[in-house]
Amino acid sequence: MKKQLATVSLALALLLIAACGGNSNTNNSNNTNNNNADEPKPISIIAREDGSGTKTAFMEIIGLKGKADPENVIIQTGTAGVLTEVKGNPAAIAYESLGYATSDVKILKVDGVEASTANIKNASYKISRPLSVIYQEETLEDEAYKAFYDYLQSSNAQKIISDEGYVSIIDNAAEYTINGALSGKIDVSGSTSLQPVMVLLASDFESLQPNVEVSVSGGGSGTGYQNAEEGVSEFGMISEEFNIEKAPSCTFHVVCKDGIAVIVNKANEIDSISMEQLKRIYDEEAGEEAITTWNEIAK
Amino acid sequence: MGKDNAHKREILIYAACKFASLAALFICIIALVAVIAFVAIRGLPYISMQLIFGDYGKYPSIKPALLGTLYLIAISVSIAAPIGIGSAIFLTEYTKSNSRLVKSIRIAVETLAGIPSIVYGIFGYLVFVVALKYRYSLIGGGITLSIMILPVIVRSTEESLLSVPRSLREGSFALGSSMVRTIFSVVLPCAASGIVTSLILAIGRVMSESAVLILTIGMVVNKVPKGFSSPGTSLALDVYYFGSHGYPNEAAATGVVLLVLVVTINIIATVLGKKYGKGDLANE
Amino acid sequence: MTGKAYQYIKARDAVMRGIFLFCAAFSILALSCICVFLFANGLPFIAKTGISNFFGRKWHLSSGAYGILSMIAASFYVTALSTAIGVVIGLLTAISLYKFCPQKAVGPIRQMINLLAGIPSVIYGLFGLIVIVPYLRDHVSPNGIGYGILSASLVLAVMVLPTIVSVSLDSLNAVPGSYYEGALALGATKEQSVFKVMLPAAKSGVLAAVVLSIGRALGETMAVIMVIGGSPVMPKSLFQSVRTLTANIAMGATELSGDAATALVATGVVLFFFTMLLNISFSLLKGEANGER
Repeated sequence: MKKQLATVSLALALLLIAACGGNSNTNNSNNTNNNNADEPKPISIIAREDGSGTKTAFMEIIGLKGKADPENVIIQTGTAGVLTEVKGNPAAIAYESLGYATSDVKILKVDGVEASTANIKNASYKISRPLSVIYQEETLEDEAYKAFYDYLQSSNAQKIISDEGYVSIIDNAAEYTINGALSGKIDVSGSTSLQPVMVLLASDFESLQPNVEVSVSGGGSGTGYQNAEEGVSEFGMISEEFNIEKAPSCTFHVVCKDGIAVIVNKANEIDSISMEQLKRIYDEEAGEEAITTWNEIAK
Repeated sequence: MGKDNAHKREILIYAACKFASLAALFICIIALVAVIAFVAIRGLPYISMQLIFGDYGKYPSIKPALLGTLYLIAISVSIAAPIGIGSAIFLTEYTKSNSRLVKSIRIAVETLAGIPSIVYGIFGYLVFVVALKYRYSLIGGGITLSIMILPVIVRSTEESLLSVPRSLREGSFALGSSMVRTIFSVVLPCAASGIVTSLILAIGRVMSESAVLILTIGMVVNKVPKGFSSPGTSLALDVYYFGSHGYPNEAAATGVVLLVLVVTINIIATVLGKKYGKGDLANE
Repeated sequence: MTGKAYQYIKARDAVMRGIFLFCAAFSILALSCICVFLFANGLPFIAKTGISNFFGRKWHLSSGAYGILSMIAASFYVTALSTAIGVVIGLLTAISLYKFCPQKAVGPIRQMINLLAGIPSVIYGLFGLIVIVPYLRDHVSPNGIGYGILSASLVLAVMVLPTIVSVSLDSLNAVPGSYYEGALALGATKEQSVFKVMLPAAKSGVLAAVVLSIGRALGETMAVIMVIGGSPVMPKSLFQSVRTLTANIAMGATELSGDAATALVATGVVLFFFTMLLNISFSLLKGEANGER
């Protein structure tokens, strides 16, 4: 009986290999077709889900505020998905937080400007967004909350921000002065874009002020507005320009800036793209103007 | 002759079916091995003491998630177990006829079992976060999960209660025992292992759930939960968080931890189920 | 036995019965709660947007178009295809475990397959994203897109396999062995007896397996959002970015607020409605099958 099973499984394995072989053969012929220079190479457009801070900021900056994605866009709900797809798909284009873009993908220049922290700081690289905390003025009357607010502007915080690939916008910040007697509980919630770095900032702050506890939760920018406005959280995190209508009793502090990188596959020959081209790729209503193949983008 | 050929052909066709079925078995096993191997290969190299036991700081850690998961298991099982076992007892011991009540209870249980977890998530969000203003909390997530695992417990407890031979109950009644006494001293002890197995399966379900929790417990990945009412995270949620916030390797590593735990739990359940299985009891 | 003690026991029995009854009724209570909360939040929104808008083709948040028809269609295709693949492979696997493979191997294989059921769906999603999508894109897809109905269906098919295998194997095992022996005695081959006699005899169990897997495929979220693509358009091809009902909820769940969030609750109501429909038809089918016996 054992022998029989072994024979059967061997036969099946062979069959499977043969099937796979067949597949890769057809694929090879496809590839030769693709190598043909005249063959149009369609762009795989990758976007983030509606409501994502990265998406809102990106669409607004390239001039498509409030517009929906073009047809057949591929929506990824997270960085891992975006990066995996761009890494593996030679035809892909996507946008992602600069801090997350790894060496597995190629970061394009936009209008000839490299996406570097320096260029984001001096605003020559256009696609970036502020990551802010919002709070009610009275909040800062409390010692512990004020201390955390001060900490966010200290050199300690700026170092963490830069280390994580975000753009610190405060130069020559002073070191945080520890207040030994300080104790309390601070609640921060909101944007999931700011959450990862805020988590690090919070734990660093806690190591400086062991009696203060900072809890950081997600929920999205909408939650950030709501919780800060209702006083549920002392600080709400948002990943877009502060919109006072959403939280009338609040004011904001920009923690850092986050560049949004336009990324493509490493095999892609293109190094630079213009804002205009980005707009024509991501505009659902571009119609005739729409760029759908890589051939239309000059090297 | 023609008939003979047709007969031969039919035999051949069915032999082909047999091979197809063996092929399917093969595919099944390949799929299983592929999924597990994939997660293991990607995740194993990134498992470290820091990841599992460290404090969440510069490097991520799943300690808050481990504790959060424990909280969730504690809350959901301590709610769902008594209710689930109670309703299984009611359905098997107290009712014989297909009364309207029993029918509607069964339909309710079946329906609960069929509701997609994301719908439970919306429900939990609407009730605990919006209506009761608990905000994101482990207790909200735990209670929502307890409703979700209720059908699992009811169904499998019912099965193990049914597998207790009638004669045992009749013997107990004949000795003058009351209904309650019969249930607690005769039926439940006999079905104990089956019930425990069902609870373990329910725990497995809680551990691997993420769609419900994303909407109810807040995904606070860096804080060890302070109590039932604090927000938190779970292992499955950490896989999602790490995956979507720039830590793909940690996502895979957490996946391995989760997988090991779930597999262990399943094995315990299987061993328990086998050792004191209903089959043995029925044969006694 | 004194009357008092008897009274006490009787009272205790009654109380315990009440407690058990409450436990049993809890399911009904919980279900009603779910219905109330979902409907109270979702239905007014559907009424406000208008049936024709809500069940329209266009989902375009900024212009107030909340049409989920394309998502219903995508959910339908994904569910149908994954169930078809899952049922064919799962049923054949159950059959081979039933008679065609060495009986010693059945136990371990079955346990291994049950393990598949315990793997969290997030992990299936990662697997699909990193293995299935790139493979389809590079080797199968005619248009260079790996996301879509086929990817999601394959991931879901693997996910529903354990359910189908174990439920149909159970129902095959429940068919009296005498049927099989009878068929053999009448001169049928082993294969013929299994496929022509045992399989039809187990059809109600197989049907149950199919319905369970439909429910699982229809409701699965985390695995699907990673491989479906997510574009809210009418599905026209297997390799096209589309969005299912569950994906629609999960994609907006953590970020949206206001009307858009309510639209997600309303999507949940529709999903809930479909699962109810499925459950009811299943109970009816089961009732029929039981009546037949």
